[in-house]
Amino acid sequence: MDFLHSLGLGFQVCLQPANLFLAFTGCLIGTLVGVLPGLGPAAAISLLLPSSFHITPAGALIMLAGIYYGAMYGGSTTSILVNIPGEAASVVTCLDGYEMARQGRAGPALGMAAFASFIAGTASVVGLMLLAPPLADMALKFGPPEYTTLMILGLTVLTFLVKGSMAKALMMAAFGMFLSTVGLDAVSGVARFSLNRVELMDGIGMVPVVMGLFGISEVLLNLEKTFGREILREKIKDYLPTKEDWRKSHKPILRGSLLGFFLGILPGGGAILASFVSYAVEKRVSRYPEKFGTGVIEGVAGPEAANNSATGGAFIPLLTLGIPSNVVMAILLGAMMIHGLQPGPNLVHEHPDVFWGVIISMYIGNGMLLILNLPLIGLWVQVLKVPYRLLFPLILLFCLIGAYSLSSATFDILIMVIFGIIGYLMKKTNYEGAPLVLALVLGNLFENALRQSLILSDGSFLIFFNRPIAAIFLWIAIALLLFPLLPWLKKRRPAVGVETQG
Amino acid sequence: MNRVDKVSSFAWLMASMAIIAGSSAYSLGTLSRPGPAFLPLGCGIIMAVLSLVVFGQAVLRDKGKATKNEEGSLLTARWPRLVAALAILFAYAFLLEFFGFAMMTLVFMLFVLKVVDPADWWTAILEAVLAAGVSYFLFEFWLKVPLPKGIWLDLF
Repeated sequence: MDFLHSLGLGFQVCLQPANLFLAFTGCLIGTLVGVLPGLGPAAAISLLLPSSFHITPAGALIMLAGIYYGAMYGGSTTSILVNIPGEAASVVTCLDGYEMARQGRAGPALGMAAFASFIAGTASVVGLMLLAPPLADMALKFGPPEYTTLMILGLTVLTFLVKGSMAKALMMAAFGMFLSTVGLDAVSGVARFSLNRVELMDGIGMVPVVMGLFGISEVLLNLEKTFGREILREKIKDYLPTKEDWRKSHKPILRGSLLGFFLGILPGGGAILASFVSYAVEKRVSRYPEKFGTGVIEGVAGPEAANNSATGGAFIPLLTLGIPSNVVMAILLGAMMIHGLQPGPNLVHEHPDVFWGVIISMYIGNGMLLILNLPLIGLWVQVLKVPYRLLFPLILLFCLIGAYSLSSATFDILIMVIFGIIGYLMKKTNYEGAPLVLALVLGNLFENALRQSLILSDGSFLIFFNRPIAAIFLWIAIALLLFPLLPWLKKRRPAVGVETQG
Repeated sequence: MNRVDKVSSFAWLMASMAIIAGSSAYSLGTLSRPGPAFLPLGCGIIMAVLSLVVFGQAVLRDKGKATKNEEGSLLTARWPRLVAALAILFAYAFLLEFFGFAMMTLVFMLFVLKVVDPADWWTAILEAVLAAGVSYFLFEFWLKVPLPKGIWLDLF
């Protein structure tokens, strides 16, 4: 009965006209962001964060969450029609989706991507609804050592999975952790690395850093190239997949949903990882793996299911533990704190309307997205035809306004531009931005938890090994750190991308 | 990429040295009562070690293969566009509150559309006016983001 009461509360919150409108707005903007290459959900959520200050916390989260899972739907459209992923989690969809389009099957590809996303997205919300409350209760037993080691694990998983050098990724995590120490130390009151600037007393804001690292740097990189986008000219028809398409796709959708959900929960995991792993799994279990890359529908259904399912899973550590599992969740964590909400195990008890309202909004949002993505394909195709020379100034402008509006200070614009330059140089030299941002967001939480743990243990680091849950997290992190040192295992390290795109 | 890794790891090593040096200005505390320098110093040391690891990996890769010319340079042929884009971004930041949102946005859009990625004058002016106008309406009136009015508020 308590569970039904909670569901009822969620529907009551979500079905308010204002919140319905915000869910729709978030889904629409998310789809648009997903369709347009160059601007990802992290940057879009950062841009809209200041404008969410004028609405209720529940409404703000409903809208911002809608942008996140909406972008997963929209990203597949450009992957299939243009062979350019709208956002990073749709990279894999290019492989078979575009080939299907070239064979005159763009409609079924788009249709299957939308249906797979809907089924998996809905399933992941069910999982979220069932797992989040008991996990929140379990998390009440977590103390500072458990939180410390969980955050270490999260950062380690992310650096393990990032493409390229793990040493570089760890270095970025350390740098991000250092950046989190800028400003007033909560315990001693000392102003650290503030360069005598009042603006830095509160630390370096996450939002300008994210917009710089992912938004501005991406534009700067794109300025180096000439853009040619060849959009398929044939009229798209028959969005409904055939019976044969469903026969081939139902198992990949099921597998993708499960994989995506659990990979989304993992700190450091996320939609990109989920889509890559799903593609690899489908290719491995298929009776005709050699056909992957030539336009097989399983190559679209599985990854699209996985990346949408991961969005539901990703909310679990945020809502129950207060720990973001990826960059987008990190920004949502910031949004919740700005709205006076403390994410963590007490959220479901202290703000059940927000907790259940957001979860139920995701059911409704998935339905809205199915409607938005199929009948409105024609509209999204027109959007794709907007030349990049018009898009990039608008992206820059929105970044500038977004950064300024955070605290009506041009200093945040400077931070954003500086991190835009840093992000550009990082991308040119193969350093990933995701570990930096995750460490920046977790830094204060980590430092507090670490300090409390050391106070509890009177300075002994053995506390992290003596408590069972903390020890498990820490040993897994150590194993992941040692993994690349074993030569024969090194070749098996999955080099997948993570949430690098903003 | 080896040369790039060597240069970049050296740059990060310098940054980590600066962090370590900066941390020395604060109290380290004790293990049972970590002070404000504890975490930044730890991060600086980790960064220094890892930058040496990256440098060492690049050196080992050099030794492992026959020496060959580095492919390309980090510097793109289109660097003037980048410099122009950065110049206008910094100018926007420094001049926004003086000239106000409307004027600066118009100038910004015109500059980007004309200088960074050249279009003809009429197209650039039309697009700049449209973009400035729509964004002003969107952010000022609809999203209620407080935007600077600039010197025009005092003049009028």
